[in-house]
Amino acid sequence: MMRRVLTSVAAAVALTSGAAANAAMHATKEFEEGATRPRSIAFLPPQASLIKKKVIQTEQQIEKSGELADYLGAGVEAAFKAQGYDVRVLMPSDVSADPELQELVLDASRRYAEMLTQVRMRLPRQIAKRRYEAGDEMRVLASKLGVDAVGFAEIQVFAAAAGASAVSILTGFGSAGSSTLISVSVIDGKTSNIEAFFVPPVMRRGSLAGYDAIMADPAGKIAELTEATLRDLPQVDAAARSSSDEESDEDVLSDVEELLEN
Amino acid sequence: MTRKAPIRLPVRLLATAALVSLVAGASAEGVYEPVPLKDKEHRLIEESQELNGYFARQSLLYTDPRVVGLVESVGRSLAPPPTDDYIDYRFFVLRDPSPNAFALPNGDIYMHTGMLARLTDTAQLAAILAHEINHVAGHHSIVNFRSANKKIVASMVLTGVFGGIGSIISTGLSASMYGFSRELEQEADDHAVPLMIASPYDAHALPEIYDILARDYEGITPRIPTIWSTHPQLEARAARTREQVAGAPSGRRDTAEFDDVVYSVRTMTIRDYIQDDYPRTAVALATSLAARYPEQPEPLQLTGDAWSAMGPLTEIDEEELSNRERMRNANRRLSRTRQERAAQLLETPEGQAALRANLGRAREAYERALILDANYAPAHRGLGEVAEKLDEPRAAAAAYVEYLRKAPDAGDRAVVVARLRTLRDRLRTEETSNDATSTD
Repeated sequence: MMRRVLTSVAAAVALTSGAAANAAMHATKEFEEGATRPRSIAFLPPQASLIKKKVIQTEQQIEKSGELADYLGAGVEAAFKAQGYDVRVLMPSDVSADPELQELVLDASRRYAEMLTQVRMRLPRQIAKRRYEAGDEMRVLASKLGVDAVGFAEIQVFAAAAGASAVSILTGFGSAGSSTLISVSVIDGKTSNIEAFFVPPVMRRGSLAGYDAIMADPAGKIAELTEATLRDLPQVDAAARSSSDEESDEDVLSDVEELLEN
Repeated sequence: MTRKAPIRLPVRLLATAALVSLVAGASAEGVYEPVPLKDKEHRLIEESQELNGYFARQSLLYTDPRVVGLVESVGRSLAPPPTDDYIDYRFFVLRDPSPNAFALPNGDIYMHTGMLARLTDTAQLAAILAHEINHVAGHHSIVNFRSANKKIVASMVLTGVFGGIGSIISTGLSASMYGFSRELEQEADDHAVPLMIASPYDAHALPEIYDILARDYEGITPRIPTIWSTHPQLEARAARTREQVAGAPSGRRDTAEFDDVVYSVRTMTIRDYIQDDYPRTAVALATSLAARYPEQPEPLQLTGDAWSAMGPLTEIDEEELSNRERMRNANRRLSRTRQERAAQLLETPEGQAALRANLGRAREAYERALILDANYAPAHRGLGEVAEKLDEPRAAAAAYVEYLRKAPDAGDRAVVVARLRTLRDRLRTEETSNDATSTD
């Protein structure tokens, strides 16, 4: 009996420390302190993938994925609004209506995809070290959108048939069961770094909602997942973020011209 | 008490090896007669239609009417009458810099912008479309889908491997985009030969496309291998089709018309390669464009941008690179960020020398662009960046100011103004320091 109690205590301690070590938010120090925390943020159209893995094929639910992306966008918008941010989520139609914006969004999305691969390979903890810099593409996009930061949100839902699970286990390829991956990034329009990256903590990842649960109540379940992912999002801190808005572009140009004349 | 033995690695490997060997032994041929769909195959057609909607929603369809019109008119002139009611030949241009084209079972054929940008004339465009049309006409997606053994491995291997578009397609369509079996690809090549010979276009363009696509400017294995970008098959396919078209008469090329229509695709693709950190490819394409349009400043500016993006990278001789080196280069791209790779190269004398040489070439290209048109603003911006990288703050500030004076509504105005703020602080510090020195 004593052994069982000790085992339970040890397991609880392990779970607690594990959850702490795998926080939902990975952020730079400046974001945590407020200096690079945005007041306004625009999310590019959220991405959703819904993949049914069967024994001999995978079946992509493209139309259904669009619906999930909308729910993800709504969840992200609600979570940021609740913390006082000025947030908007771009719809695909917003992007396609403006050719210049379309180009910028495509460039920024490719750049983000490149970074996300590295984030996933090299652990999100490296975000604190400002390892992931998205270049001028993100600065120009933030400027065009008139926001402090650009956001990305993504959800992947995998459903596996029992047979597919067995084959996956046998061969070691792919994930065995139903799982859900979600991530949200905040990229600053000035530093162009990923300032904050949110994923559900490891202990809860994939177990929050499987394919069946999401399909039974997509709006409710995705809202719940998004809330869990963004649980550590701090409140907006307008005072902490420095602003150089008082100085116009023309002032800067004139100053430089004067300096060059000397 | 007994413990269950875990599944050991050798068992997994054996299982995989067994499946792979089954696939290796599988072969299939296309069917050029009507092929009624079985139950699950209807889903392939639905997915093909959904994909088009997905591409449109994601703004991935390139919609310039002249470019799409050219691809459509060439494609329609080659396509045979559909054999089934689920096939309707439609031609699209997909906004993607990678050199690829693919056909879906419902007859939708997609040409990447990165593929168009590399072609030199309409006959080469026809050659690629002829190949893709035969994937549809031969029902290759359906044939592939019915090859169950292949599907087992593909579903396990492909899931989670591909990023971008690859991550949103199912196993049933993945072969359409990333290449069918060698037999089906060869069959599409072989059927493209009579289609090209019967067309007004020059059939000798067929082997040329493989020569063009075999170029690996970056010295890496492709980011996403496709049947249009995989070594060494391309060399073998070029040799085979060269023999097949040897006796064919010459046909239409329409080089000038093609150049005119795809100019915007070429410039966009060069910019895409620069932004995606494929600067050697960008240099090659921009240099070629500048040679085609010696009187226009934009190709020279893009050449400058491409050399500037090279940073400390050295030029490479593709022929001398081993497969191992290509793999190592590709792995480095995944494991290290752009900034880390550049910083590492800059620690070496070769990297420092390469940076100076590349920036020198960039500056020369920008200056040549300004000789053609002194008011061409993007060249001033490029000169500013070169000067900034060479630690010449006065020259950088002067070039950036010139840029913003000439292009006050530039989309990157905020970015350039931010750089000018930093340069202003630096110039002020230098001025103060100079004043102090002269007072002393």
